[in-house]
Amino acid sequence: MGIPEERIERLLPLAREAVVAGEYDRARTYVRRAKRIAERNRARLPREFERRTCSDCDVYLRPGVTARVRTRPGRVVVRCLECGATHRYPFS
Amino acid sequence: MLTPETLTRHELVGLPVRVADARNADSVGLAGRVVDESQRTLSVRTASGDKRVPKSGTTFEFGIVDRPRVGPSGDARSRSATPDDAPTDEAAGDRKVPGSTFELGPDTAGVRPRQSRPSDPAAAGESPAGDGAASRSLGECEDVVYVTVDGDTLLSRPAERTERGVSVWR
Repeated sequence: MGIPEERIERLLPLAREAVVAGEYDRARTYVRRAKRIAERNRARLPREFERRTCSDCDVYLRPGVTARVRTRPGRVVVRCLECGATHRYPFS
Repeated sequence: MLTPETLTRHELVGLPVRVADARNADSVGLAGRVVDESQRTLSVRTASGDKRVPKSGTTFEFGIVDRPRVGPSGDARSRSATPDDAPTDEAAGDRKVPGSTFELGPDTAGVRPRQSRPSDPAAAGESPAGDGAASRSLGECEDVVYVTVDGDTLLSRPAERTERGVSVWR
């Protein structure tokens, strides 16, 4: 695993910590940097990263704090409480 | 892995840092966690707020930790416990934070044995073993290695830092 992947991996817990501390914008800067690193180095964002960050406003999604998580038949619906964007992913 | 060799190309946010030398005499001795990084500056979270330090003309000492944190409580604690002291003390202070997620690495066999400080009840309580083991663990938890970096080598956009020779496809 190269340095870009490691940096992305390190940034996710930092974003989480920022949300826990209530500093959403700091979480956004970390998430945005991770996304930027991914695109510059052709590294994939881990699935965990995709699902725990809002693709619209880049905030870290913490259920109950910055996100609402509900299940619909066959999928999970995650709504960002910061910007209102909805993400869905399937489960079986 | 974050090693002294890769540090300048790696993610600096979350690492404990101390300003060893700077053109601005006021920022010498600042210690805390890196909270943000821009092209020409580092923001350091200290007990007395976030400080923005220019990279150029500054010498930083980074602590290499596996689990980056920015936790302000830990820094406040370490600052109060050990004022402007050696960076090793700063590391001990971070470790003292109750509820910290620190775990001993596999190679806990005394990399650099150090004395346990008298004010370490939390750290002692952290390890289930006896008193001696606790003090040992305190001394040796030292996977924390400190690296001195000339700030001029960090001058670039953080997101592009990995470009130097790391990418395979280009």
